[in-house]
Amino acid sequence: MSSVTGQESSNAPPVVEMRGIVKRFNQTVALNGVDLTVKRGEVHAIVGENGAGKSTLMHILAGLIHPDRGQIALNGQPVTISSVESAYAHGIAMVHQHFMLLSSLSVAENLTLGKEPTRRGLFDRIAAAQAVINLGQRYNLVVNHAAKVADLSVGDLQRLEILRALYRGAEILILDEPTGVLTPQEAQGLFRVIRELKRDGKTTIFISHKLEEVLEISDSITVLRDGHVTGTLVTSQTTAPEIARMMVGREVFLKFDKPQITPGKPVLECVELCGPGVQQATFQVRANEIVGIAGVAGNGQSELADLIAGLLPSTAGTVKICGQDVTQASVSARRITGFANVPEDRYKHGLAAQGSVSDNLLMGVHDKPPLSRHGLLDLKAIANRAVELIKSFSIKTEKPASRASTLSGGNAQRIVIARELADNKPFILVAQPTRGIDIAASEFVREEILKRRNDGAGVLLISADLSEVISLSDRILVMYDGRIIGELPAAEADETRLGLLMAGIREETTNASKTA
Amino acid sequence: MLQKPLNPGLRTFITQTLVLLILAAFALLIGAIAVAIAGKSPVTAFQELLQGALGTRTNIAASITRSIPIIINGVAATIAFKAGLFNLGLEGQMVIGALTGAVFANAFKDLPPFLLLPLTILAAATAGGAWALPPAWWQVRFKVPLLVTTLLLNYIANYFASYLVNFPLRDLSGGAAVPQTVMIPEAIRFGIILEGTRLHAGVFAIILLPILVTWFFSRTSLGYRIRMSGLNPDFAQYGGIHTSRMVLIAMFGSGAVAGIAGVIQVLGVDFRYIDGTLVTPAFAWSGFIAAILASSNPLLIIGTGLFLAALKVGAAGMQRNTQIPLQIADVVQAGIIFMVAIRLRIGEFVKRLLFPN
Repeated sequence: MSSVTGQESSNAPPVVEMRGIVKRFNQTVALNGVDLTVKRGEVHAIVGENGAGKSTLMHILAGLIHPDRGQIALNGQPVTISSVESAYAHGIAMVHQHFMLLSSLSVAENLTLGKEPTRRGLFDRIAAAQAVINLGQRYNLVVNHAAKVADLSVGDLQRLEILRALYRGAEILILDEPTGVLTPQEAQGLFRVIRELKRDGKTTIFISHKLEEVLEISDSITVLRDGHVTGTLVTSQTTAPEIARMMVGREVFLKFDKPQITPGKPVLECVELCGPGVQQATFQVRANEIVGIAGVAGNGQSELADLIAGLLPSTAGTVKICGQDVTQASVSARRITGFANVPEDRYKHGLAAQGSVSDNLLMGVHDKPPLSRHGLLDLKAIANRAVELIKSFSIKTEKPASRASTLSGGNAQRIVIARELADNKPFILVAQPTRGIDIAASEFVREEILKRRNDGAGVLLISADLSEVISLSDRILVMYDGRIIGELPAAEADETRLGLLMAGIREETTNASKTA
Repeated sequence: MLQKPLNPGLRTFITQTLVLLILAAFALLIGAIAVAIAGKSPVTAFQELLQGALGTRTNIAASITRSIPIIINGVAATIAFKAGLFNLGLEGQMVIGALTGAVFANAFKDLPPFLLLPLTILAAATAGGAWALPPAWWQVRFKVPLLVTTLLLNYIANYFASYLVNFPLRDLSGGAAVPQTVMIPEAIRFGIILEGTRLHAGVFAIILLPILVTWFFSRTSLGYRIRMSGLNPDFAQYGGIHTSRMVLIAMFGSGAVAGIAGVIQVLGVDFRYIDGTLVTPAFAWSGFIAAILASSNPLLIIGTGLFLAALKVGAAGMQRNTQIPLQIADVVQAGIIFMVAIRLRIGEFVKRLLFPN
């Protein structure tokens, strides 16, 4: 493992030096002796799978939690960061995944909150507005100072959070998975800002699990796995496979072996389907086919899924599953018709966290022989099925009777996947199947979906992860503002073309764009 | 201290039992303080309490007899808990069930007993269940909190029943001062099963019902659907379960069991419906507490219900012999409710103390 030599080696001490950081949460060791060295003025990426300890490490630096052991030195001086305020005092600020802004106040008011400019004891609006404009110009971070936060786009919210950090005098900015909520174009905008910050001598620590981004924007990389540092790398001297190997301990293939199969009969047909947040969606999913739906979160994908599942009432149009009109049918009738559903929010819809693993595996088939006859459950058959599914889907649980809440996110998702893919349903709706789960689990989930497609199922895949959509899908639909505004064969899709569509810009001139 | 890690089920059971004992100890301590403040000796008080509850064969039988309506109400509360509902209307459902049972038994007194007895119980259960349905419907249809409506319906049930036994249904034959119905036919009254005590055949229900309800929730598809609706209604809906229907069914079941609690008092203790005899002893509320103490485990309710009943019976004995007011028992019960409120934290604490790794 090479040590970081990104900047011209000066003898100045590193701006952040963390040594031997240990943090336990009850029985689990989140960080087990982690070292981190960040040089002044660099962009340092922290990468690792979910649960590797990235966020915990950064929360310690930002004063949100306290380490059990270990030292922190800033510019060579040992410090104790006891609170968020003390982190601020040391020039450290963190921009979280979930923005912490007051939506009823203006941009200028939010920016200055906690350190308001005053004039004769009263809040000085003009000075606050000026602060937004000045900082914005300096870092190329333009946000309308008079706008209400509630009216801002996600990208603007993020810019405002960064401005807030800068306003409070941050020298070290920690960005927690900042691109997760952005379109590719918005992400490029963020990278321009980060470069601007770097030019100004600020240090940026960038948490991510998207390797392309890390390679693009960072100077050096620290890789975490299971609470250990498994690599410190200079970005210019490494490659994505190398980082991935350090993250998971083996090679990860993002390209799947996808045999060409001619799609069969349609298993889902939506015609002019309308409902809350969805307008005139017309498309088909055929057997042996994965149709991906790409889009920035909040453009009607979740609602479309609920309309198909029967969880939201449609206002117009029709839905057919396996040729049967189910527009007015109940959820259970749709399931009987041959429909499986991996929901977007696994803890809200996909599981009863306080129920046992076995209970969770039974949902949807609780009235189906041989598991249940004449209203009586066959506990033996149910237990056998649970043990079988736990084994074949490698669900890590002590026993079938353990509560689902005791399982990790990836294993919780395996429960959902196992249950929904188990009975060879001809149509499978899959939403955000790998959100928030680690690489090994993600890979497993994707392979299982692909396996079902090869075995004859039609899959509708809704995902915010573009590389997932591109690598799994046979065709890709893009949703924007409740409408399906474009369709591309997966072979012709790349992040740029999808990104434009996701931003609502139709490629009228390209022959590949056929508005459904 | 422990060599091998215990299996988690056993671990939870040990923790739960210990927590219950700690709770009881704390509650009794609060009671002791109350006795001391009243200027009496807590030691004498508790000796008398224990004597009154379990000191003699008669006292034990009295405690068990007292526990019957408490445990059955506890089971009723549990059925609603499983669906994620707080049925605070057990009292009204019990009253309506008891009165219906008494009226039914008298109206059809010519039926052969082997038919009349089950039909009387069935009528009481149906009436209790029906009384629980409107709040369920209001919650499902209009989003009116069931917690509030069930509670308020108690007053309507109590006063309505009170009116009926004061006027149209009043037994005028004996010239008794107490508003009550005519006595039910002798043939269907529960027999005494322990000579010289008042322990009646209704006691079998405190074993039968918890087992039946446990079986229902673990072995039937309907039980599964109700449990899932209670654990996570969004998940249940996603899985194709009609959660609204589950609310109605669970409330009907809960009310029906409360109705059975009422009619068993009629069949085994009072032999008629007497105004206030079900409300004054607060059977329903003790049952509710028994259910909460037992973490909605129907089998554990047998234990918690017996404890609460023994506490009440013992307190009566204590008052007779020491002039310490029996309200001390209510103080202890209040202490328990208070302890239940902070139980979760104690649970974590006990677990960490016992199983530090």
